[in-house]
Amino acid sequence: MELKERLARIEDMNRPTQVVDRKSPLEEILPGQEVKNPLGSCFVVTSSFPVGYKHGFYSLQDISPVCPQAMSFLTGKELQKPLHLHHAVFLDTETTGLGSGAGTYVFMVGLGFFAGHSFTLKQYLMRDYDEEPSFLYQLLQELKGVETLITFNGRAFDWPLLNTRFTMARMTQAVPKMENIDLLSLARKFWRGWLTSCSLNSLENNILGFKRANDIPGAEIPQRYFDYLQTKDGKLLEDIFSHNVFDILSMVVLLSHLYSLGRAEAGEIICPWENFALGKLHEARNNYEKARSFLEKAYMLAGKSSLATKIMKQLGALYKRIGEWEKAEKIWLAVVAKEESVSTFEELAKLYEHRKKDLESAKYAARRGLSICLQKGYSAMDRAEDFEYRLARLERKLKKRRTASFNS
Amino acid sequence: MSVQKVLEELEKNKGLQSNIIARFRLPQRKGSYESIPDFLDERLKGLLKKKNIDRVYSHQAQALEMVQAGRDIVVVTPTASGKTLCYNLPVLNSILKNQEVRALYLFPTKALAQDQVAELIRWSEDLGGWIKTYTYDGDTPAEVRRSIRMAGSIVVTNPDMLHSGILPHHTKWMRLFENLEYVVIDELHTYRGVFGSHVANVLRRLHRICEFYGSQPRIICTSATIANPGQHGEKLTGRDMVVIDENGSPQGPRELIFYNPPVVNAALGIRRSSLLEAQKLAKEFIKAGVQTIVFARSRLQTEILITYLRRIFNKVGQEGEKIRGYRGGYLPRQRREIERDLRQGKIKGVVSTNALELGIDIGTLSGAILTGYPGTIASTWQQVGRAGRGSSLSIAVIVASSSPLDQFIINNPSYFLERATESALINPDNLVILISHIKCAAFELPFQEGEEFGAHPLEEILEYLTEKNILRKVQDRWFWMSEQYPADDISLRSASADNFVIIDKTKNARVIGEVDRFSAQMLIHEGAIYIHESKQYHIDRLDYDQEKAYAREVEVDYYTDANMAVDLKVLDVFASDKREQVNRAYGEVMVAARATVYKKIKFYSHENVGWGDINLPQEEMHTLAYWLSLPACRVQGKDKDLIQSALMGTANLLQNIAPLELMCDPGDIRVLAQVKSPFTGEPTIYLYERYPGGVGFSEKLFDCHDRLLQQVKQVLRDCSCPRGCPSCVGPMEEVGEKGKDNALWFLQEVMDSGA
Repeated sequence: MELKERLARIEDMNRPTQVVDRKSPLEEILPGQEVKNPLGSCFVVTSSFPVGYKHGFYSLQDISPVCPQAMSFLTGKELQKPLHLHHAVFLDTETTGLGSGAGTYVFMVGLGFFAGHSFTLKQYLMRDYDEEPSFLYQLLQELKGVETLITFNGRAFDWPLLNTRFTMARMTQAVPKMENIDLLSLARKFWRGWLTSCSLNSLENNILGFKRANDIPGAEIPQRYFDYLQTKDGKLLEDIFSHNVFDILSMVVLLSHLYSLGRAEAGEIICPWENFALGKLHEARNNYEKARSFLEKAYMLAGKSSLATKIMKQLGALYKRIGEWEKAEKIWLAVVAKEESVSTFEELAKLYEHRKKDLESAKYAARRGLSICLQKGYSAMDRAEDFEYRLARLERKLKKRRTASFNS
Repeated sequence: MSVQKVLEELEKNKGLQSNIIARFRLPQRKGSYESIPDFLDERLKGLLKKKNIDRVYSHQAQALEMVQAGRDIVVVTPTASGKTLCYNLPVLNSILKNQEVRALYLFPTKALAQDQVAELIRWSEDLGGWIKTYTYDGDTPAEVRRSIRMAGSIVVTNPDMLHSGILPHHTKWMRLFENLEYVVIDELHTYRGVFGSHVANVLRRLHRICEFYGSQPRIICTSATIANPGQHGEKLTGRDMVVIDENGSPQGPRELIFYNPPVVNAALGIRRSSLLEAQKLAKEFIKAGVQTIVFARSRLQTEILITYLRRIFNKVGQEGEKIRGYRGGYLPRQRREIERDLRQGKIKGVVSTNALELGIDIGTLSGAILTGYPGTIASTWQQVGRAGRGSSLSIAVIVASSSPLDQFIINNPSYFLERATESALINPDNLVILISHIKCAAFELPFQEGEEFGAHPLEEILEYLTEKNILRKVQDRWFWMSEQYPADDISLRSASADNFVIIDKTKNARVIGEVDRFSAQMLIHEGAIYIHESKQYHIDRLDYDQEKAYAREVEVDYYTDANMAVDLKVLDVFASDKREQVNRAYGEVMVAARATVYKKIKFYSHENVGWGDINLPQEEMHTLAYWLSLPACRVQGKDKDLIQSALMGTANLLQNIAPLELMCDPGDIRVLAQVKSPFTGEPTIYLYERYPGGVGFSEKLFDCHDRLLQQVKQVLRDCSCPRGCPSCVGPMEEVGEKGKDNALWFLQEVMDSGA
């Protein structure tokens, strides 16, 4: 029996071959051209947007006040390289799959940057697998001198995948060290819990006021590219190019929005989640007064939602930190009235024992904490031990106090 | 001491004594030693001195020398012969001399890998602590994976993880692959059959990737005793191997007992269940304080034994937790816990399928009971070797079942003791397996014209995949053109990737285990009793499309057993041989199987207490088969029932005896008897391989045809039953009242005169 016949019996998967009547060359469909470099060639589409260009609620220029300090505030850490917009690039890739691994290819990279009075977008395309070296080479050329890479989920996806490609092409030596600001992780600080999804699409709809028209769903992109490889019909890629443009423009205005949130005062924001996130960010920067006003505002707005307990715990910790013991006690009592919180009972026990010297109340709180731990079983054994230790100490203190009062 | 107590008890107890067919005292063996090689790093020499190791076994010395000379080796010595030093010393030595050196250790199971790491960490600590060893498996937390990739000098993993977690992500492992100097493959003999054929391909992929990063690691394999270690190692790794098989280690004395359960019905040749006898022996052992492992042949047997033993030890006031089970299908956390308690001596008895056959270092077991002959000589020695690590007396008992193979072995102890072990068979060029790995390889690195991968013409396969739009050829290279992640679809442990999961709905839905597609028909059809951790679950619903079975915990006094209806079509004949008395051949076939009914069988009495229909779609499989038929002219005038009975009886015998030659589990091959086969037109017996594409059993059977029939005939003659019994031709309900005579007639007919 022929090998192919036997193969056909084993592997009868058949992905249909695309047939097109008329192929449109890329150049006819998109305003781009071939670029050549020592490793070969690839295709690039360059477009330019005036800074006044509106994308949803914001225009591109709303980003202009963004300054290095603001970014440190939002990311919650000192950046290795401060953000200067003219040394920053917005990057988004399109790939042949959503997984990682050496067989997932990046076939398109969109790079957006501010230059003069416009926002320029360069989209590089690898027109077939053999163009990968030149495509990556071109990307590295563009990244020369770039200090900050701004991405959406790029930290977990785009950038590691590009690094895989650089390794495969043996180009890792030439990859510049850049700061990466990942907007997805920033967005999650504000809206996780409120929005069912923090995907760029969901943020566009719910936060940025932008609706995509005729967009190709991300999941269909790999197959569309494979179809292009077989047919070389440029028309198939039109949607992917515009999808990539949407992604990058949305990243720009998302950064503006995050930045404006970062500058807001407590009274200006009516969303409890945003207030809560800002409170936490300020607390991390040791701006306790600001943190307090955001958290108190968040508490007020949260009502009876599940978020309320989280805010209360945060607020309790803040009161403790700034020495507002009365307020801390009040809010912790409110927490345990709503939820069997081990850590809150622990805080209460500490507060009564060390601050208020109210040993009976401390004992009560420690007992409640212990009984929850015991119900939880094995996973809370360490904490149960802590409570037992505390209770033993409290008993000793109580006994001593009783003896003392008896003697006097 | 307590072993001595057990031996005395066995002699006193007439009921047990009379069942002992043979007893052997395997003598103490003296060690053969050589001095520690000079080329070892001073720090390593110092450490050995500190550990009071002032010489090494001769086989260890030879291994060190060969690796030092740059050779790839396979070390073949029994359990507890210090084979880990054969790879740990060269590896540590190289790392001490150059910090950048990396080594990759492969163990067939996660449990073995974790044991090794514990050992290596102790060594590393004594050497200053900077040699980092990590296990990398499915349980490794995401946050430590990164540091393993960057800093792990020795990465310990299993072939499954290498296949799905490391090779497809090789760019993240650049440091490892660039500096890889050693690949260690422990328990080489376990990589046989389908699993071995897969692993050989995983290693082909590993070689490709090493080449990409410019490394060419040496390969160190260790293996239990098999007949063809060198050839097997070469087939598996694609490298020439130096075989080191002169064992230099000492061994404590061991009592090996052949035990045949008593006949309870002489006419039917029925013996007492080996399960019950094993249980009886285990009870004596454990009572005497001998930490004991009981090997059962199947999951079901394991569970039944645990249930029985727990009942016993609950009665005499001991805790049930002292008896634990250990088999495939348990979740990792449970297994770790069992292994730990076993090492700490909290568990007194463990009942296992062959998952524990491998050399997990559990320390102090001094008794081993084998319920039934494990199927191969190699594997029997492995299981026997589980008892008696150290120099004190240990005891191992082989309890025969009534199966023909068991009866053959138990009545011919010298056959067992004198015969060389079996050969490990793999077929890395099984097309089903090969094509899966070619896809994985193409995902990992584009194929280049002129490259080789396996025995089939690679370009033809690549062209085929290109036609199917899985690959795309550009200039002289083939690229992966799919969003699929091919390694995900391939399980190394079976030829079909999809497993069925069993979900317990008793309280909160949770997954309690999984079975492969072919077993699903047998084990988790609706109405089946699935036993897990000695709890019974009734399968309420089987969602065949979603590959899920929904179960509910129950307490019933029966278990279930399913019948399969099988049809077979010959597609291609690879080789055939026509003789005057017999026609025989092997080739490719299509088997269609469907579970039809199941029986409910009562515990203890094993009587049939009910049945039910199974309505499941037919499963089809392309595989290899070997068949023999009696030329039509020789059956003229013979009664059809007689032929039917003769074929069934012979087929039953073949099914049981063939594994002797094949080093496979009896479940790896199946038989089918056809009075007038549509293909041959003659009375035919087929032996087909249970895995899609086959792994080479059929060819081997074709080659050893004469010896095989010889053995079958011997078993039939030796059986003490008058007219045929389940220990030879099979139960009377299947083969009729003259089963033995009929089978003898058939064998006489097909065997060449003088044979």
